[in-house]
Amino acid sequence: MFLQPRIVIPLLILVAYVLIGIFGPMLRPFDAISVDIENRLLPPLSVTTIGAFALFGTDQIGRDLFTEVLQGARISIEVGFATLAIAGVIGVSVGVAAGYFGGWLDAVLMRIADIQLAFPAILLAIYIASIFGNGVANVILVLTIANWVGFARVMRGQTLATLPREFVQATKALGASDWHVIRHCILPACVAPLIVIATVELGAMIVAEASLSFLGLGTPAASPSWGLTIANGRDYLSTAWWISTLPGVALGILVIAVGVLGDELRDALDPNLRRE
Amino acid sequence: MAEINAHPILEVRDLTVEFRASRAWVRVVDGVSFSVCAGETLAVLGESGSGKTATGLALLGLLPRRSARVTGGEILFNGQNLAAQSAKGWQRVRGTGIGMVFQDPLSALNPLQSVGNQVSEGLRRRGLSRQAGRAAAAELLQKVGIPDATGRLDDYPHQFSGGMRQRVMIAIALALRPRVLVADEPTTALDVTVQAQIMRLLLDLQRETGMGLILISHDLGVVAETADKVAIMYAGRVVESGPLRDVYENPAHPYTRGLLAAIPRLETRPVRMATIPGAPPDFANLPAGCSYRPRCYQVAERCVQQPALIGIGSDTLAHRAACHFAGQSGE
Repeated sequence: MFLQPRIVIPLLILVAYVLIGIFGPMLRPFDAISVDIENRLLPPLSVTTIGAFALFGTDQIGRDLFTEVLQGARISIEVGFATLAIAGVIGVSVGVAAGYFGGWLDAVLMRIADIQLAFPAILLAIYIASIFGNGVANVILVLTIANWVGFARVMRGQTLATLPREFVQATKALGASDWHVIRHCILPACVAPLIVIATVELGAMIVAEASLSFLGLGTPAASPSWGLTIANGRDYLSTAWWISTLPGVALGILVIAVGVLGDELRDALDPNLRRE
Repeated sequence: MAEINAHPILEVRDLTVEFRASRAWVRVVDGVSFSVCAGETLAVLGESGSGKTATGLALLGLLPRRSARVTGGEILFNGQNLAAQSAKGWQRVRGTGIGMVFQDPLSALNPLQSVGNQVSEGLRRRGLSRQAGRAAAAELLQKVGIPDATGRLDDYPHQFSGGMRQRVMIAIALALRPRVLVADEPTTALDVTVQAQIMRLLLDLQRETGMGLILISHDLGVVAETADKVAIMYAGRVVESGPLRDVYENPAHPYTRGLLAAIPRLETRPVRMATIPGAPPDFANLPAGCSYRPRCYQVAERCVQQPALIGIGSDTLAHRAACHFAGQSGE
C-alpha cells in the first residue's frame, strides 16, 4: 500500500532534504556568511580565485551560493519540523479536549481558535519581531501561534466523529476512565487525519518561514534562510539570476514533495479513496 | 433455569429518561420499573423506538451526555442508587458491577486494537500484568467458543465472522465478572443459526457465573426460550410484566396479545400473517391516557385516563398489566 512510487519518491526527496539539512553545511568548507569581494556575482559552475568550485555561483558579496542553500535547508527543516511538533501537540490537545468534553470548554477553546484565525499572521510576526528581535526561535513561535488552529479543528472534528461510535460506548461500559478512552479509542482514530494535516501544514510552514525571512521578519542575516537569500538577490535579478532562483527552486521542490506526499498519504490511509 | 436468589441485585424504580428533540425535552422512558435477581433472566421486549435501548443505556449511565438525561426514578444496585452517583462512581460500577453486550459487534469492537488486547483491557486496567492479561484473554476466548483462541489473540475484529465477533464482545463483557449483564439485542445482527448458539452461550455462562441477565430484544421467539421474566414496553412505558409463562400463556394487555398473535406458527397452514394496525406513536406528541389507544381493538372512553400497572391473576405482584380491561375480559 505504501510502497508505490507516488509515495516513495516524495518521501525520498523529503528524507534527502532532512539529511542535507543535518549534514550539508558540514560538507562545505566555506563559511556561509564570510564576505569575499573578489569573487562576487560569479555564475554557477565557476571557479573562484582560490581555486574552489562554486556549483551554484556566488552572491553579491562573494559568498558561495551552494553553501547558503545548504544552510537554508537546515533552517527550513528545523523551523518546519519544530513548528509542526509544537503546533501539533498544542492543536491535538486542544482539539481532542474540545471535542471530547464539549460544553463550555469546547466553546471557549474554539472561540480562541476563531480569534486566532481572524488575526493576520504577518502582523503577529511584526509584533513579535519588534519585541523579541529576529531569530529562529521567534519564527517558530510566530508560526506555532499561527498554525495550531488547523490541527485543533481537524482533531476536534475527528473526535466528534469517533465519540458516538459504539466501541467507545463499549469501552466506557467496561468502566474505562476518560483518559483511557482518549488514549485507546480517540487518539488511534486520529492518526490518519493527523498525518495528512501534518504534511499539509509542513509545506505551508516552510513557505511561511521563507516569506517571513523574505520580508526581513524571519531569521537574522547571520543564519541565511532561503527567503533571506531570495530577498538579497532581488536587486540582481537581471544580472545574476541565480542568487534568487536557485534557493527558490530548492524551496519549490521541497514544498511540492511534501504536498504530494500529503495527498498520496491521504489516499492511502483513507479506505474510501484507495485506488486499486 | 438457574437457581434464583430472591433478593434482586438490580432494581429499577420509576425510571424516567428524556431526550432532547430540537427544542423540547421528550420523555422516552416513563416510569419504568423492574428488577433482576442473581441467576435470573429478565427480557425487556418492545418494538423499535419503545425506549428499551434507552433503558439499557441508563442502567450503565451511558446515555449521551448532551442530548439525554435521567429525570426521575432510582436504579438500585446492591441497594445503592446509581442514578444519583457521580461520573467516578459510574466508572467503578461499569464492567465489574454491570456489564453490557452491544447489538452490532463490529461497531462495538475497536477496529484499531487487537482482539486479545480488548478482552484483557479491563483486567489490565485493574492491575493484571500484560502476560497474565494475555493468558486470561486466551482462556476467556476459549470459554466463549473461539477455536484456536491463543492463536487469534493478535487478530483484529475485521478478521472475525459476525458470530465470532459477538463471542468476542461477550468475552470482553464477562472478563470483569459483572453481577448483572445487559445484553442489548445481542443476536439481532446475526444469522438465525448463529443466534441460537449465542443465546445458548449466554445462558451457559449465566449458569456458570450466577449473574443476572437483562436481555433487551424485539424477538419474542428468542425470549421464549431463555427468559424467566418479561417486561413488555410500549412508547416508553412497561405495559405488561411478569413471569414468562404467565405473560405468554395469558397475556392481559391488548398489545402483548397482538405481539403474540403476530408470531408465525409452523403448525398451522400459513394464512395471512396477523399484524397490529397502525404505527408506534411519536414521542413528541403521545396520545393522552393510554398511548396504545389509537391502535387498540378494545378502546373505550376510559382509555383517555392513563391506566396504572395493576396486578392480575392469583399472584397479583408477579403478573401485572397497564390496561383498564386487564383481568376482566379473558378473550
